[in-house]
Amino acid sequence: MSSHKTQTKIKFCKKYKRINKTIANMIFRNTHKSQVKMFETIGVLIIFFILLSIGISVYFMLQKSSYAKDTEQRRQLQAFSTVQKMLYMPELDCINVFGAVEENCADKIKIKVFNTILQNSDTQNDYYQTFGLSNVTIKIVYPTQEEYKIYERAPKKYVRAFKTQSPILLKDPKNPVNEQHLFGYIEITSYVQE
Amino acid sequence: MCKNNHNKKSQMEIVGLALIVVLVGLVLLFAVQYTFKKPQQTIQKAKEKTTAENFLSAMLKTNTLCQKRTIGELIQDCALARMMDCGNSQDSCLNAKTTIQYLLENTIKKWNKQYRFIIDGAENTNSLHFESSTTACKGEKASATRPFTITAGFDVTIKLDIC
Repeated sequence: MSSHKTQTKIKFCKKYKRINKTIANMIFRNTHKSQVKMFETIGVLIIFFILLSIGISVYFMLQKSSYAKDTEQRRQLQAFSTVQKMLYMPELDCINVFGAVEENCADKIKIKVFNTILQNSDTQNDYYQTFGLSNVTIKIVYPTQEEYKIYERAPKKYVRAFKTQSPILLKDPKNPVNEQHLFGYIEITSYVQE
Repeated sequence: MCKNNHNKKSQMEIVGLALIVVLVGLVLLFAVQYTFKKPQQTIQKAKEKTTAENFLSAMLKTNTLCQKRTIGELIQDCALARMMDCGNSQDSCLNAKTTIQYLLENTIKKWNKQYRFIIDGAENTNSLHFESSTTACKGEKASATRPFTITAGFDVTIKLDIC
């Protein structure tokens, strides 16, 4: 009787062990599959974030260069409009015998006087609104070669400097009866700061 | 039931792929737009056009060393009788030619720009034709044209291209 009981117990134990092993196998296989899936998801996420960060950095780099271009273009436009303004400034313009303003012309005597006046730093501050941070020069090309530095205010630190020039007629009224017209140009050096 | 699930999974994958394709397409479009975007040339063109106009207006009124005549007067004489004597066996045409060339070289050429200067409408002024190079200003350019009266009923056109 007791041996029958023992045999049944052994059988039961064996069966139990077998079932246990199967369950353990199933659990292990499932866990392994889940782990692989999890790694797959993590991998996809990592790649996605790498791509996203590359995209964002490229976007900001392009934005930065586009901003720099815009700033430069604005400065160029400003320099160009300053040149145009200078052509009609009462401090420089030419007046003919009838009192009319001559087109695209600067008076040489007025240039010399304006140059002297702008040596004063207070006066130079008054013209900051018009010229800003730039250097303004009038150069005579023909028949002689002369240079007049009208305004000088370059920043200490700048990224880029560019020049805008415009041809101009210069009246030399040494002898009012026989006025001479010289050929020259206005040059404005503008600066792009950081 | 199992087949349905499989179909759903495939559809999801297709949608995901389509989304990726759309995203990549958008990124490419963005990149292409930035790479091939032409810089705004409006300001540059306006600047060059104004420079050319100012050059012509200043040049015509500039007094030369030839009897203190203006370049405009030299062109008028050159187009008509060539009566003016500018010394050193130079006539008005030759003096105008050397002066205009000097002005162009000391301004526009010095500013690293290409140019083309022509006077149309008179046979005598054919020599007053200047180009910074043989291929200058064949493409995009900014031009200034100025009609100039030689005598009553006789006009020439002075044209300056900057590019």
